[in-house]
Amino acid sequence: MTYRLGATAAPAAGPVTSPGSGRRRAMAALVRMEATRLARHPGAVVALLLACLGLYALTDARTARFPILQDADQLAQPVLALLLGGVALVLSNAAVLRAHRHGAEAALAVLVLPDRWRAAAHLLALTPLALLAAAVAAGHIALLAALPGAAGRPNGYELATGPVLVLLLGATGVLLGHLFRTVVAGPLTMVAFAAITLVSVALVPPDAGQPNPLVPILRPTSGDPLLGPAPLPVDLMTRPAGRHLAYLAGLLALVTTVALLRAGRADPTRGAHGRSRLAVAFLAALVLTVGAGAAQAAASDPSIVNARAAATQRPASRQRCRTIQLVTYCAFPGFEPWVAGWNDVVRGVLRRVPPSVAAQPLAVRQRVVADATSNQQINGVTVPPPVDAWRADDSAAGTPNAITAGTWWGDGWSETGLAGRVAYELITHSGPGVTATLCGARGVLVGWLAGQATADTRAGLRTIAGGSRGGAVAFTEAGFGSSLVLTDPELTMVWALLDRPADEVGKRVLDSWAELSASGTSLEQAAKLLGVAVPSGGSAEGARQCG
Amino acid sequence: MWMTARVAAALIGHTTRATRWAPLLAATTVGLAIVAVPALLAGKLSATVLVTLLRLAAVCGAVGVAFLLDDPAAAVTATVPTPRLLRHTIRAAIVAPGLTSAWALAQAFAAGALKDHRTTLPLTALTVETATLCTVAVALAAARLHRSAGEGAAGPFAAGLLLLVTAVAALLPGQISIFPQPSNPRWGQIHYWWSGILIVAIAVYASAAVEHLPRSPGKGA
Repeated sequence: MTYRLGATAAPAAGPVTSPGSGRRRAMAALVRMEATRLARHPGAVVALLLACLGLYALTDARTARFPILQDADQLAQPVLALLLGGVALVLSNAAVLRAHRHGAEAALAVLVLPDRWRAAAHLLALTPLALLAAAVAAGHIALLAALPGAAGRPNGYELATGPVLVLLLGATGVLLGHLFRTVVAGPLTMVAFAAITLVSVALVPPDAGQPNPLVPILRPTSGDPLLGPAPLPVDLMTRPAGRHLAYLAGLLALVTTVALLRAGRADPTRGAHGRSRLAVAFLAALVLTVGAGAAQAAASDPSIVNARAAATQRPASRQRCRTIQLVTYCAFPGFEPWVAGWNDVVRGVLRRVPPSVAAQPLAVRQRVVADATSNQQINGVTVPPPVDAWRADDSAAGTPNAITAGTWWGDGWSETGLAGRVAYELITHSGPGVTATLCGARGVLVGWLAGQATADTRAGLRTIAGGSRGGAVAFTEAGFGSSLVLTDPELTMVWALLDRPADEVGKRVLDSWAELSASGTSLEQAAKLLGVAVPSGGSAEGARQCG
Repeated sequence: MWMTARVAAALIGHTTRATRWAPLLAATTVGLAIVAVPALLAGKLSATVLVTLLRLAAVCGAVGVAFLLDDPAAAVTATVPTPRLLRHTIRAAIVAPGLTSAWALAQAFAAGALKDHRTTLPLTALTVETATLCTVAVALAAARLHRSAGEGAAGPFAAGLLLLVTAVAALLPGQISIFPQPSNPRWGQIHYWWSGILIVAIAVYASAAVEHLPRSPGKGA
């Protein structure tokens, strides 16, 4: 390999006006050379491509259609830290030890640049890699934000965390190079870093409220729609992103100052002044790290705690509503782009019901459970939603019996749940927070209306049935535990109806709406009215509490 | 064959002295610490966490093995009559007992920290993974030495590439993952794949460890 030695050697070899300016020019040349070497290294190029690929794979189907930007901004952090950060650590460590490995340390010692300046050049050479990481994180969120279904807004601190982690790991590589004169330290530290991160994440129960201040990556806020905590509007989030970034910046400053102090230790004649300044910087970095690290575990601002309670109990006070053809949609700030998606599902159900039923006012309200008790949602313990407060809030806001929409959308499960709830509400006017088993003609009607609403609900119904024990379908309200359950034999009949042309079934439904929607109509009567066979196994209404 | 055995026996002492033990010791220490520290401090752990910790320890061991074939005297020893395959294999054989003991110790720590006594850790399959990772590491190092005749420093390259490949393998999505959790129904099938990778790695090592002989200027075209 050849490098443009002519260009880099000239400043040092030429006449210099003062030692300081000569050093600065030599260091700038060294930074340029090391930065180019680092960024052009095949490992770095492969890691960059893999980071883009990994980020693409991590962006699940729901996020790729209806991203929640305040959660999606965290996706890039582990990928950037593991791949680009790992490459930065291993390669900067190898670069610091290059002279040692080739037995050229004595030759370098006669050059104009002291060791400390050389170490500083290695640290500065990490900048292009961090900029690349920033470009990946920014490009990812920009692509998601450009989607028509994008909700919320990204947090700049979260986006900056990935690049700062790359810098931190790279600086650790430089420090290791000055501590241990062996290249094995870099890869081993990277594996140990991965182990510490994984263990801390695995041992801290999800959504424990207290982030582990030692972990370089905060646990992502969004999780599985069924098990994890539901996404929250931006103004209700308690994730200490800014304090965590300050903690990482403090760590970066600590590692940098220790690396510079360590690099200059063999130079007793010069730099006593520089050493004292570095010692001051070290103390400042220590204060910042400890302060920001402790602040991460601090209790949330009382105003946010109050806002969370208000959003849980009285969502109407924080929402804006929009009415589309008699249906009112109320969403938390930032989630307005989803109204069109909700409307598609609601229209899909309304077009199959009699005009008199469809003409009644209907409301869809987004809800979250974000007050203090919501932390118990995980581990199978479900907190009952504040249904009474919701009903009172709905009545006060002029949208009685509003149907719940969650903070998930685009996963099939949410669409199907909303469609089933809309169908049930049109028939029973029971409002939010109802748990019931659907049976007889009413169950078949709700199941068919939900399944035929849109292509997503049709696919979602199959997915839910395939993923549950015994093939049952639950039209759940996002993460609140209340659900309308549809099992066999009604479900078998729903599948049979969905296989037939929707218009033909729709005509029969309109003709016999009163009978089909009545609670007493049996499965056999429904089969006769809809012109399908009675599923084997018959109805078992006696054994079930039907809603 | 008899000659080879005698030469090998004669080489053991010298190879032991010439082997760089520091990377291996560092790697084994870090690997053991990765399993032992959580196992001793955090109390009982789930099988999922322990399997992940054992895998990380295995990666540490493989990183150490990547530096095994490094030899500052490679340019000189290239001229000796003993084949390089034999010299490299002796090195591998010398460190194998130590690495095996360290792996057994890590397994003992992990088994002692298992939360649920009705389940057992799939230690045989994990041993296959570990053997494969170490063989891949030594095969990468041998291939690097084969390409860069005389330099004798393959460790940084082999360890870096091994980490990159492992990171990619760890990021693979569920359907094609090669680091499954014990509950994965395809666990057995995936470990047939691991055995396959092990055989390929051994073949790569065997072919790469054969001495690279530069064509002399007088012969051939």
